[in-house]
Amino acid sequence: MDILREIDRKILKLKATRSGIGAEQKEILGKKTGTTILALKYKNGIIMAADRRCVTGDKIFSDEMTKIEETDSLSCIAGAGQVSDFQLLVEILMNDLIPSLEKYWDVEIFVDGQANLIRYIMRNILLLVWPILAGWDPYMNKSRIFLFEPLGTKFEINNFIAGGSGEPHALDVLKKLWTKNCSKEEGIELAVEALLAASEADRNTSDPRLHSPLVKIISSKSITTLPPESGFNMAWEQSKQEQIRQGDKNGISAYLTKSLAPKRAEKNKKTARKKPLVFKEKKNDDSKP
Amino acid sequence: MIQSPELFFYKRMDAQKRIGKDLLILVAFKSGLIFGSKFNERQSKPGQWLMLIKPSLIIGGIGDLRDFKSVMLILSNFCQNMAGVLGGHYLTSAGIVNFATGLLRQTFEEKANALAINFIVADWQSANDIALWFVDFDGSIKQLKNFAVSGGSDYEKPLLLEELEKLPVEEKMFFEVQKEKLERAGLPMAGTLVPSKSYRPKKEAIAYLEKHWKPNLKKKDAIELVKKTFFECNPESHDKTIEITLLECGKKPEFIYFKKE
Repeated sequence: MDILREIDRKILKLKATRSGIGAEQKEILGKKTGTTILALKYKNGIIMAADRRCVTGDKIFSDEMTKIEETDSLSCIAGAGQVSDFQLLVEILMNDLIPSLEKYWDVEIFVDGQANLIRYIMRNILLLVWPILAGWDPYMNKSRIFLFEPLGTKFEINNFIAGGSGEPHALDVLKKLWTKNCSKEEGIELAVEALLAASEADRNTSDPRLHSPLVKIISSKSITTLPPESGFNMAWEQSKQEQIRQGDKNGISAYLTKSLAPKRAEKNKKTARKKPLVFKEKKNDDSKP
Repeated sequence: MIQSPELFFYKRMDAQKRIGKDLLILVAFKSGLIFGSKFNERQSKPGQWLMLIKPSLIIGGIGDLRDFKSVMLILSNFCQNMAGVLGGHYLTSAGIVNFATGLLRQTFEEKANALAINFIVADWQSANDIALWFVDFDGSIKQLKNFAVSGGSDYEKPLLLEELEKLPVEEKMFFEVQKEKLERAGLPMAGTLVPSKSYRPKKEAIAYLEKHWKPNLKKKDAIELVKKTFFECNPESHDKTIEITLLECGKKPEFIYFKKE
């Protein structure tokens, strides 16, 4: 009968199963574990990006991790921290709370309602995850980004945010280059550049040149995913530009130039003349005036 | 407590009796809603049968005032908690009806007495988009359109002397025969039975509104319609004041009072 009591009962049950590990978790609370996730606003929506690496201690477990989930047709959630806690949060939200509340109230729950639900869950269950929720709010007709902390604090962000172990490096790039009404393409390039900068400084963040980053573009109508090839191309291009700026002769630009050389020779061969050019020498004729 | 069929029958009759014969009417017009209910200057407070959940969601009730207030208290606590968990603009009429239905049904099935109230839930996003629900004392619900009527339980009123004299002889004889049968069967109340006429205010009000309601009603016409429905369909309201609550999008509620001339 009372949906609130049902929700409380489920949350309390989960809380009881996790009650014994409080002291250790408190130590970890101050540390942000390996990943880089970010969200930034562009003119008509939000770009959300995440790397692909999953680490266990010092070892790389996987470079094919999906760290962004679509919670509905207009919003996504990305998580930095314990993978199991992030998956639990997404499961409670998407398989339990949101469907039952939508059926009960006969209304679609958008990003603002989802943010309140996440805060409610994280206040009651200790989850070692720092999620970022981003989406289009049709009630206020604007894009919104929310950041959460493990004890249930909710922050609304007006421009851009990053999370995970690569956060400081990604934020440096975003602070320098983000502009308020940037276009979608500029936003995507900025997101990839921030991930690239984070991967170069943080070993727990995968290199977007080797493992294409997951980039989601959220607009007022839908969510689209950037194709992996575009992510790769962008990352390589940015890396090349950086090497050129730095004048690094042994770096990627030199490598790419050399690797392109045999292809150029082939191309030259095709366009080469079949008969060699003959030059006639010009003679100085003294007899002519 | 053993919930026998007789107990359910008794609970039903008791709830209908306590709800009473007074009507609560809701009519949708071009730019808002009108609620009409009885008003006693000595016993009633303006708008005491209404509860505003949010500017576009209102509940109107009729019946036992104590039961109405206790249900509204539980409902407002629930809405407040839900607004904290989810957000105020996610409170919809569908969710409120789900909650109220569960509460009323549980009370009807498990307790000694049912809650003697029925109410109307109105959710209006715009003039063309109004959701109306009727919730009865046993938890049954109806989704309505254009207008809604609650309360108005059937009742019987003994015939006056003039009406008795006008009764045909066959009907008088039939009544006497039935009364004698009941007395022989040993029913103690049989001796107090008198010829009476049954009234069904709710059915009459619905029939009247179905006949006279039109789409895109103006405010004045809607007020007139509610007034006439009260004075013509519920004879008991001849000597009573009627309170009309006018709700328009973006404006404060307005109370207007009428008495039969």
